[in-house]
Amino acid sequence: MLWKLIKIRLKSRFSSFGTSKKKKSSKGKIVGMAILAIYCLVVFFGLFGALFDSLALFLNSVGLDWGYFAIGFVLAFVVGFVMVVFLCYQELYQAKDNELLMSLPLKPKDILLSRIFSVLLFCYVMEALVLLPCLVMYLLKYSLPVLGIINFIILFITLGLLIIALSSLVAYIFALIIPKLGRLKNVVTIVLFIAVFGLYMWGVFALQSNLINLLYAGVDLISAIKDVAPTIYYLGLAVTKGDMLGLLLNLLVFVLPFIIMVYVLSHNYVNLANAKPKIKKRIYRETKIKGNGAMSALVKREIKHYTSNAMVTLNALAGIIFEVIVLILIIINLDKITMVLEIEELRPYLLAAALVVIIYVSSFNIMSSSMISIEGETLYILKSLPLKTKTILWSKFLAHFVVCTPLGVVVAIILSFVLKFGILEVIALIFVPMIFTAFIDLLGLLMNLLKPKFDWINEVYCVKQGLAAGITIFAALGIMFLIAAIYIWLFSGLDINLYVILVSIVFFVLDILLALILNSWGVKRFESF
Amino acid sequence: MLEIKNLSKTYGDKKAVDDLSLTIKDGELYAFIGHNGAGKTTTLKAIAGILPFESGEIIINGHSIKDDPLAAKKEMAYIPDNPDLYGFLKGIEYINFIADVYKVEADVRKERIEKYAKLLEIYDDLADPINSYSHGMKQKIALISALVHDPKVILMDEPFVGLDPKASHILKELMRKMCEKGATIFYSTHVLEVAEKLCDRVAIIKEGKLLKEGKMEEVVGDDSLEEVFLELEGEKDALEIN
Repeated sequence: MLWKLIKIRLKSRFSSFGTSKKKKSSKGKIVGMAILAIYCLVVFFGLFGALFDSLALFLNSVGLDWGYFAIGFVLAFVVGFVMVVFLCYQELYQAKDNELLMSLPLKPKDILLSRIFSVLLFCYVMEALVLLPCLVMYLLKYSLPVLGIINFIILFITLGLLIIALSSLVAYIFALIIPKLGRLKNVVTIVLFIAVFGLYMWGVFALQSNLINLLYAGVDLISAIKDVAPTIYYLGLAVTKGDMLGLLLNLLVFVLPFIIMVYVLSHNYVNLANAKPKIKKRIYRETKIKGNGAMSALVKREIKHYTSNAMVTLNALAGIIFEVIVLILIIINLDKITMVLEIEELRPYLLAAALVVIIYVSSFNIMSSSMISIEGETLYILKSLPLKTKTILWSKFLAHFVVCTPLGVVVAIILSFVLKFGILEVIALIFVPMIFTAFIDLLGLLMNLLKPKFDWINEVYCVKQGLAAGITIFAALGIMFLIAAIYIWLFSGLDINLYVILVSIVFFVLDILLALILNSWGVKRFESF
Repeated sequence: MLEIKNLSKTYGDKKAVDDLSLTIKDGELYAFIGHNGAGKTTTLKAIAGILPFESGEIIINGHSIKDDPLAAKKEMAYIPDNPDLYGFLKGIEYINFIADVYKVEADVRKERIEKYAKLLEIYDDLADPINSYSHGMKQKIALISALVHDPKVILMDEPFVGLDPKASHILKELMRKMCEKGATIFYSTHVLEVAEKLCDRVAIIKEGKLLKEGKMEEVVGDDSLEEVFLELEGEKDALEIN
């Protein structure tokens, strides 16, 4: 029965990459997925590869190779935990089909394990993003015994179990607390996420910017790990020397918490998964009713939808959270920015750099890429109302634009003030990101029209894991790199600000083209659902 | 008035609705009955403009749903069998959203919301999120939002499912009164006793095809609607339980 549940869960997970009606995947779809996967791999490999390259050189030179793998596994644990913990909460306690499954003659343990398996797969992907570059960068320079590589693989697999065990524990605490928060639960979840993510970002930045200093100061610290946390030391030995004692000790540490977690949770799962938020009943009191136009009503409805569930907000509007972080970073690093201003050679590049920051951060706002799918079972409402399809689609565009633009403008104004920009630069810093926001907005909407999925189990998956969302976010990031690469390879002699203007014109034209496609193909496509 | 002319709709190879023609006049309360999968919901969704159809025509108060969907939709309201509403909105917010789309004046909608919400005993709950509602409460909100713009044609798919006995009784009264005021109600149901007592006319369909249609007393004759239905479906003998 467990295997059947896992199969259903996997089917549901993978069918999120499309309409799920066609049985055969087209060649184009497979090629597209492969390109996307390679792209992700290259981006993350680049990110962690550079880090592990410096680490391997340094730690090998001081004879602390075991410390290299210890750091790799600790980092994989942190990345895995941060990425998995909120997903764990959603998957275990917020799934739409919990009630259905619990009404069937199924053991709670089987339901729990099938859900855990689904999260575990995601966890392995997160682990691989760290540990794959870790292993490859080391093997490019040095060698490992065969037993060491086998141990590495075993530890990779079992580390996922430890991550899931601890994530489930935290998710368990969330499930106990959050229903008691009533109407405050969304705010608390978002604040909690920003705190955990902020801490993680701070850690990664601190590690990357002060790596060598940290390592020199930390040689003693790494050596001291032997005494303080011997399992981590033995983990390093299990990989570098193929040490079996190290492997067994870590297997115990990784697997035992998982077994305990499954035992404890399976005994409380029914109660926890069925806990309803304790919302204090409000008696309706008549208020002054103010009528809105249809467009305004539709836009408000979209915004309400995307702000009513904290996890939906966090996934669809991550760019806004990053913009808050950018603002904090600007304020914290005001002295460093002032120093940069004094370097005359950098001055011509400041506007382009500021634009890259704002556009890069806002490209994580992918609200529009799930706006069709998120209608789900309620799509009939829009289709039965006297609304033009164009009005429906443009209300979705507007909702994304209205939500994602204001904070970008605030960041632009503050950056302009800090960087002492002139009026033309301020205008460029405000309006160029808007052109790009409109591009992502339209691209996301069209992608979702192309690849909608209405039969989702949890709306967070609909926002986070749809093919449209994946394509949109990676297209946005890819285009950013492409713009930079084209400048470096082809136009490096050209005035950077002129290049910015040219790129803006190109994107403005692309916006118009996408808008035309939305009005023609988009309308027909929506009407065919 | 609602006119369905030679409506056909297929799903792949399966003909869900096959050359269906019906006319429902102003002020008529019309029951639409048939087995599960007979094509009732498909027909209702096609009339509501939710499902496109291959051939035929649907005219709502003189407006074709194919050629002038906006004008046609302005005349009607659709209440689905499963009231999947916007769970993230409060009851009052959902009704106001629908009223905004239909451009109902603020003072008129206020009066209607108060009237129907109090009648259906959900007025006090309007400030709660729809997510926290029971099936019956959602059904009531769907009903109020359908009535808030005073539609001339009302389509209902199994409207009594999930309603408590009192709300069911009120709904029956409401349906009757609306028809007396000239509205057209076309609804699908499995509750044949209610349909028999409540409706002016009835249509019975099987596998998308119309089996019988007409005034209730003419269709039923000396039998009950249930007996007529089972006989037409050819299952009267098959259902005898030993």
